[in-house]
Amino acid sequence: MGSQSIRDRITQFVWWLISISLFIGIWELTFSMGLYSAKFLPPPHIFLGDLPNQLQHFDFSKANPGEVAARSHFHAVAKTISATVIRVIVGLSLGFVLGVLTGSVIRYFRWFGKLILPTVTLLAPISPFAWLPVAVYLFGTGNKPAIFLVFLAVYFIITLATIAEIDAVKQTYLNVARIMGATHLQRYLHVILPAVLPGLFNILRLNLFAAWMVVLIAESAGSDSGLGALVMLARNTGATNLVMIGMVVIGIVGFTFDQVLRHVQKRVLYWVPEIQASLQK
Amino acid sequence: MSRGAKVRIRPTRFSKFAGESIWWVASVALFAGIWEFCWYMGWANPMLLPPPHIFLQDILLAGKLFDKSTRLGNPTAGVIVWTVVKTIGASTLRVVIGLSIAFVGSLAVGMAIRFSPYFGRLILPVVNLLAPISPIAWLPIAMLIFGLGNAPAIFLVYIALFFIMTLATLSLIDNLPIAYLQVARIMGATRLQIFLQVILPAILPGLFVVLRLNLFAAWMIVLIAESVGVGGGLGLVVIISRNTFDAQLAFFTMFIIGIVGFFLDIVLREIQRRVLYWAP
Repeated sequence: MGSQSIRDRITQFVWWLISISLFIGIWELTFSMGLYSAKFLPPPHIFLGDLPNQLQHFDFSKANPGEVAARSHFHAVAKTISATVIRVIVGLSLGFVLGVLTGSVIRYFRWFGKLILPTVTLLAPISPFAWLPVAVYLFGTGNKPAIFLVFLAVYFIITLATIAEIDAVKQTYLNVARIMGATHLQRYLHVILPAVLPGLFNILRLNLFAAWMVVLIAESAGSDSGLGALVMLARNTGATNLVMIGMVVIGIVGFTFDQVLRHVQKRVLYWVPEIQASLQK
Repeated sequence: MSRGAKVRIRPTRFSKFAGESIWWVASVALFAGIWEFCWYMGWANPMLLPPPHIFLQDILLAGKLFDKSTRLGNPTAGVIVWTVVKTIGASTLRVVIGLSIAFVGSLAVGMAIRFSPYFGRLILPVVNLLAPISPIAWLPIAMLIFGLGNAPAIFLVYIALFFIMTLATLSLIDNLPIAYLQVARIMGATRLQIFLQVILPAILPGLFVVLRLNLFAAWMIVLIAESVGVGGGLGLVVIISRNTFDAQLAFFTMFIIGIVGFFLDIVLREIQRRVLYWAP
């Protein structure tokens, strides 16, 4: 991308502007023709104009008696966003690490694997949403059920993916390692693990979407903070302006999150060849 | 052949299957056993974590709660089983319809973006802009536009898949081996022919894999849409069980959702194998 000339970038940006303004234009036009009311589907100039008024709803301290009120609107927005983001990060990290660990252990100890794998395949297709009541029974409300659900959304998929990736490691790699006298453990730590991690990280990124969805639903059902609770509150009170603002915030945060993971992937998994990395975009 | 030589019999399909099922039974038995043991020792509260023998013991009582028509009164077993099947059918149908529309729609839009550069430049930024918005955030919009019933749930499945799969279509087209296109061009294929007869069959298998990976998200969004009351379905049962703290119903529903999700994946896999026979 660095070799792109400035002219190309400008043309690209102009097209971007035309595209977005066309989208917004159609929206505004159908609104001004009176096809629907602002209460129903507010166009951008209405819900963005209402932004200063709506920001106060990001502060959940009125709903939670123990909580200190936010110092400013900006503080409230930051608190709501970070509550959600922290849940996603903790859940994702736990799910990824434990998933890779479980998958490796299943292949490392054959008997243990044969005993555990059927239960994992049995639990894997249960949608995280179906776990919601169980999460509430086990952990009540607050951070824990949301983290638990994000964990579940990732854990089983990563476990099964780890097994599939381990089985797909090139036989040559293992043969070479064995010829050079590597032990079983060494083969797992120094050959198989670096070989499977890039693929797994990709799968994690693909499932970010599901994890992000599950945290919003967990917040809307069993929590009193975070973006999910905000959107549900807005929906229940019929505040369509707030719904739209919530959507914009969720979109921005989701986009940033994906970019950050992409960056982490490029930095941490430095041994992946460039060509392959570009294919996996 | 000397008499001492051991003849190693290759495992037949049946013996392999038998071996696998024994491990399968052992694994599930261990899992259920630990759970039952925790219950027996009094560590797992049967009101919150009822062990399998409790939540599977009165299926009909749980099945009664699946639909409001059977919730009161004393329906017969046949009626209850029928409403459970109808509830499962409603959810599954929404997923399948949404998936199909999204698959066809994203394939068409993705191909059109690459086929016509002007259309592409006009549409792609909007797709990129809307893609990271979680389907959950679309939920209020879906209900405002479509009200209740099947339409909002199908719309959400469509939203959950459309943007991801459009972007996947683009990346699949961009990563096709250039040799395919060159050969087609040397043989005198027009632009339309290249798109329909070279690019389309080349990307379909990959796109289908993306669809299968996203089945998980589609299945989840249907349950969520149903839980806020677009009318019936398994998602509503989940949320009823949460709101009434009916653990027995919750576990029974999880059981059903797991089975349905499992079979949906198998069906998609089978379609992939049969329909896309040219894939490696």
